[in-house]
Amino acid sequence: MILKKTFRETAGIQLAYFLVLELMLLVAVLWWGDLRDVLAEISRLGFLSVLGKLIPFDFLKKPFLSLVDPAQRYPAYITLQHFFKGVDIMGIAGALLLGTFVLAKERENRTLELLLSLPASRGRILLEKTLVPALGLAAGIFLSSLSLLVLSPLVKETLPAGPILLCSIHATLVVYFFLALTVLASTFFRTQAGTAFAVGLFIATEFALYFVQKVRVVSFFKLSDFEVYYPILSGKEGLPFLRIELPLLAATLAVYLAAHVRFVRGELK
Amino acid sequence: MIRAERLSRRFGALLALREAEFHVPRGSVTGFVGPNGAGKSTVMRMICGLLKPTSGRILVDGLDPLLRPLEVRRRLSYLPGETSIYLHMKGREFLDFLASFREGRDGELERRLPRLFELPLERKVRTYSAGMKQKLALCAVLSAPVPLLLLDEPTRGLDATMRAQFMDALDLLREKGRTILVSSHHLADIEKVCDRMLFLLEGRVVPHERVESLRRDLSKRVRVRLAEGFRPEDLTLPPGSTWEVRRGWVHITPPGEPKALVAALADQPVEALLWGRAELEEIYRRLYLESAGEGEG
Repeated sequence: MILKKTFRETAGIQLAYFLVLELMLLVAVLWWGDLRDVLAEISRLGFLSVLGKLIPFDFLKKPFLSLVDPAQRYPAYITLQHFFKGVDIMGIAGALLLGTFVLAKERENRTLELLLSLPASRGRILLEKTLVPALGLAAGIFLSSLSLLVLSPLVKETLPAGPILLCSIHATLVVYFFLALTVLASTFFRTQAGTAFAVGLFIATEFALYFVQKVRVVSFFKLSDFEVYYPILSGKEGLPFLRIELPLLAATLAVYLAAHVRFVRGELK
Repeated sequence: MIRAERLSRRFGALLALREAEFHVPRGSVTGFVGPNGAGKSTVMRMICGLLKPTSGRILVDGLDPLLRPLEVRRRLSYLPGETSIYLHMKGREFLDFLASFREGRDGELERRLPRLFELPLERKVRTYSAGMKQKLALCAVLSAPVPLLLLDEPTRGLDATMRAQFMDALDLLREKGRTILVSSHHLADIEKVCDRMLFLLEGRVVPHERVESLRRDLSKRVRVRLAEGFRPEDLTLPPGSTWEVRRGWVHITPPGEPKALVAALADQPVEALLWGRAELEEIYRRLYLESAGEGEG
């Protein structure tokens, strides 16, 4: 019943999240035809690759050089448009919003005390309330990403399903980390706004760090940028399981476990 | 059913509960009375295992809520003092939602309580008035098939008619043998429905002996309203009697049994006379004044 209740509470947001992702992807794919022609014209002039080498930051240089290379253009473009901009940014925003529904909204609406007095373990309550947004976020990522299989032929491009699925798995793990972080934050704060502000501050800081060349290696967004997605989507590499996925999964589970311990052992606040 | 042993709870510098000791017998309807901040909600939350005692312990059916929380919560149904309900649900869905956590359902209560409270269960909760929401929460909590009901300010937001409906519901539950602990500021209502009282003042439970002694003392008191133009000094009272005027009534305390005083007042300029068992509100007021250091002796 908690699953059903949480789904009904969040169904609108989950649907909106998926539709926004899908709409952004659709617009990006449909625009690709024009952009591809422009890039081809400019590439003929021959100075773009020279110009690209002059770009000082790796995180700008690599996408630029991939975009001017005819063989790499489309996966590079989709990486930037869908996985880095769409899924990462919208997914993290979705995780933040849906995460505040897990505990903070119950507390703010004064329904948590009644819920906790029922004969259900706190661990079960937390798990079921987290599971619904987790499934919704993953569904949005996988469905919108797999729609590339249908949308790409519209602009005479193809992307294989395997790399799309691997990128979706990675994107889901990234989003789950932020969902777990929001759940943990909501064990500290009494309101949705407070929880969202705390996690939002963390995200903004991480994002700011990403754009500072010397410290960007410590930014969380280094785990989910062009340099991670592009080799996977272009089929050059598989999922960096040991280097990124496993530590990310471990960090997500650790954050969720911390939220679980705080919620189960803590008092009603 | 409930036993508190030297139960204390501190919130930072505030000692909300001070070595409170009490028990609630099985099958009783116990009123939990005290001013705001006395610690009533704290005690109820401790019974549910939502708060931990700083020292001492509380047992429900011999079980510690902190050590065996699920077993305790399977035995009780709790209405928090400040609660709300899920606005996106219909009334019936809310009842089903809470019932889904229980093993089994009490079909009779689930039929009778919504009728008693006149609840439109097929409507969305967001269309309910504040009183209807409170009645729905009450309905959900009271219809649980559990031996213990904890009701923290259940009549909050209810008008007189709704409060009467609630009293009828408690009578129904009493007949079913439920143990009920109920706190309320409507002392007259509490008095009608409860067979025991627990007074909580400044985090301490007032001993039963003190309450009974005060009740005996106050029951001796005779209250009279004087005819127009007369003053208390005009009355002829048995020697040793004392009096005070409060809200237009003269409260007279005789030195011995009040029968002689009542007889003596029959021929005097008295418009109305009240005498009998002390009301809860009066006892509460006296205890409150005593605890605040302004006792009248």
